[in-house]
Amino acid sequence: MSDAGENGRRGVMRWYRSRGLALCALALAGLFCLGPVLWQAVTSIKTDEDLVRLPPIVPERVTAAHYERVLFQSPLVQSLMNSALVAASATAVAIVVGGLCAFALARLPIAGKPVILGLVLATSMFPPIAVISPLYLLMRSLGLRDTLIAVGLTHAVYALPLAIWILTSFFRQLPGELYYAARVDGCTPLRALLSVFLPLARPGLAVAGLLVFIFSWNEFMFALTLTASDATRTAPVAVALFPGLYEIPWGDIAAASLVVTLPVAGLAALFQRHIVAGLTAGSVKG
Amino acid sequence: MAEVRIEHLSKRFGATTVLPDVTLTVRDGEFFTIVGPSGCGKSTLLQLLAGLDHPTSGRILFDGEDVTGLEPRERDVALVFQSYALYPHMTVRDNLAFPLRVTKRKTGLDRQRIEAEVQRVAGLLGLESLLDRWPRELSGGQRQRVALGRALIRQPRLFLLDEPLSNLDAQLRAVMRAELRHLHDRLGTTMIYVTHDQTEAMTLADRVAVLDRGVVQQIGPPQALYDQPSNLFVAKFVGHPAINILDGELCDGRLRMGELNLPRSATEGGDRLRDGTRVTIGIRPEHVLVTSGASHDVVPDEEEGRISGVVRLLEYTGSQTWGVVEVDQAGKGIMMIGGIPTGDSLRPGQSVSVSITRGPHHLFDIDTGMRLGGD
Repeated sequence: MSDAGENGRRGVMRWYRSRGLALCALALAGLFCLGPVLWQAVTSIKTDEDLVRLPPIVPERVTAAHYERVLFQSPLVQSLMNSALVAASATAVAIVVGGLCAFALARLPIAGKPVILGLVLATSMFPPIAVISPLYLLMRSLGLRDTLIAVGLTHAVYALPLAIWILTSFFRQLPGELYYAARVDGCTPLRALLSVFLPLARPGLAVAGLLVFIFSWNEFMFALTLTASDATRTAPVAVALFPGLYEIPWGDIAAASLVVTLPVAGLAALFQRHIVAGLTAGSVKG
Repeated sequence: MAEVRIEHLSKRFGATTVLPDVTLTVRDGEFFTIVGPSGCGKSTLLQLLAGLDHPTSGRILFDGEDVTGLEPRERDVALVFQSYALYPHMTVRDNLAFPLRVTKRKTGLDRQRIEAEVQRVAGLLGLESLLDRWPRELSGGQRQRVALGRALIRQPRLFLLDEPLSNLDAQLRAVMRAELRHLHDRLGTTMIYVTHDQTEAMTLADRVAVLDRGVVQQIGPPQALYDQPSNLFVAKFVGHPAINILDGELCDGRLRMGELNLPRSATEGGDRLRDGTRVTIGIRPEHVLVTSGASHDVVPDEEEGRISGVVRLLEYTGSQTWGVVEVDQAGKGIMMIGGIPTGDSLRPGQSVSVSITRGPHHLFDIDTGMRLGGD
C-alpha cells in the first residue's frame, strides 16, 4: 500500500521534472519570439515622458494617446484598407492562377513537369532588389505607377511560385483515380478541378492563401517603390514613414505596428485550427 | 451496348513498351475478362479504352466507330476502380448523381429525373438506406456497390471494371461476383473486366483474354483456356492448383520423364511428333493421384504411368486434399501436386506412389513454350 503510494509520489515528481524542463524550454522560446512584440505593446501605452526613461519597464501611467493619434490623425486607416485590398487581390490572383497551374502540373499529361516546377521555383530566387528598378520602369510605362493595381499585381506574381508549389503537392496527394473517375463520369479537366479537386484540396487552398496574404500584407520594398501617395501606401510603408524630420515618434510607431500586426495574427490563429483539422480529417482514403 | 474492337494497339512510356501490339474483339453484350499477372499491361489497356490515356499507335472502335481520339466523356463508357474512387466530399446520393449532373447540359435532365435515376440505381443495388451517408461511413462492400451504381446510372454502352473486387474480403468477393454476373445478365451491357485473379476471370466471363507482358497469350471461353492452353504461360496461369510441369523426351513410342514414362497416346498430339523430340509436359493435378502405395484406388485401365515420391506438403481444400510430392527426375527432385483419394490419410514425409491417370496431358515446345500437336 504505502509502497504503491511512494511509487505514485515518485512518479508525480518525475512527471513534474520532465514536464518542468519542457515548460522552461517553451517559456524561453516563447519569450524569444514574443519579446519584441511585448516590448512594442509596452511602448505603445507609455506616455511620451516615460518613453525616454528606463526604468520603469512597466509604466505606472498608461495612455491611449498613441493609438488615438495613429487611428484618427494619421493615414494609417487608409493604408490598412489599401493593404487589405492589395493582399486580398494578390491572394485571389495567386490562388486562381496558381491553382490552375498546379492542377495542370499535378494531373495533366505535360512533358517536362520537373523542369517547369524548377523554373517556377527559380523565379522566386531573384532577390526583390534585383528586379525592382526594371519593375518600376515597367509599371511607369504601363501607367500603373502609384496605383494599388501595381502593388497587388507585383505581390501576386511574386507569391505565385509559393502558391504553385503548395497546391501542386496538395493536388498530388489526392488519388489520381479520383481524377480519372471524374473524367470518365463526364468532366472536362477544368470541371474535374472545380468539382472534385478544389473541394478536396481546401486545406491546401487555405494554407496557400494564408501564406500569400501574409506575404503581401507584410511586403515592404515593392510597396515602397511603387507607391507615392497616402492614397496608395500600404500599412508597412505608412508605418515606416512615421518618423518626421526632427523626431521619431516611438509610441506611435509601436501602436501602429501592433495595429498592423493584429489582423494577420488573428487570421493565422483562426486558420491554423482549420488547417490542422483539414490536414488530419480531410485526408482521402480509398 | 457495344462491340469493342482493338486493332494493333500499342502503348509505350518512354523506352518501356507496355503493350507491343494488341488486337482483339469483344462482342456486343459479352462479359469479357482480361487476366494476367501484375504489370502485364491490363490496366493500361483499360485506361486506353476509357480514353484516359492515348495509345502510341493503333485504333479502338466501338460498334465500328473510331473512338481512338475521343475524350473520355465523349466515349460513353463507365469505369469502376479497385479503390472505388468515390468522391469523399459527396454523399452517396451526390456520388451517384454526379455523372448525370456533369452531363446535365447535354442530356437536359432536370433535378427530378436525376433523383428518379438515383432511386432506380439505389434500388437495383440495395443502397436506398445509405443515400445520405458519406463514403467514409460505408463498409468496403457498400463502397463497391456505390462505385458500381455510379457506373450504372448513366447507362453507358460499355462497362470497364479494373479489379473491382480485389479490396474485398474473400466471402464478400464471392457474393459480389455473383451479383456482378447477375447484373450483367440483366443489363446486357458489354463488360470488360480486368483482374489478376484467374479464378475470378474464369468464373465470371463469357470469354477470357490472358495477357502477359503486354501480349495476348490466348483468348477463349474459360473451358477452352483450361482444356487447350495455347502455351505454357496460359497452362501455368489458369487452374488451381497449378499444373505440373515436367521436361521429357519422346522415344520408342513413349514419353520419358526420368523414372516416369507415359504412352504417347496419353498426350494430345504426341503421336504426330518425331522420336527424340524434347518437350515440356503439362499434367493437371486432377490427373495425378497420390496414394499410399497399394494401387487399390487406381483403376488399372486409367493409369498411364507411375512414379514414387515423398509427401512434402498437404493442402486441404475441404472437398479435395492435394498432396505436394517430391519425385525424382533425372537425379533432381521436383515437386508434383496431385489429388489424394478421399479416405486416404497421408502424412508429410511418407513415401507414396504417384499415378498419372488418363489425360489428355499437354505438350509444349521446350524452347518456345508453344502448344504442340492438338489443333
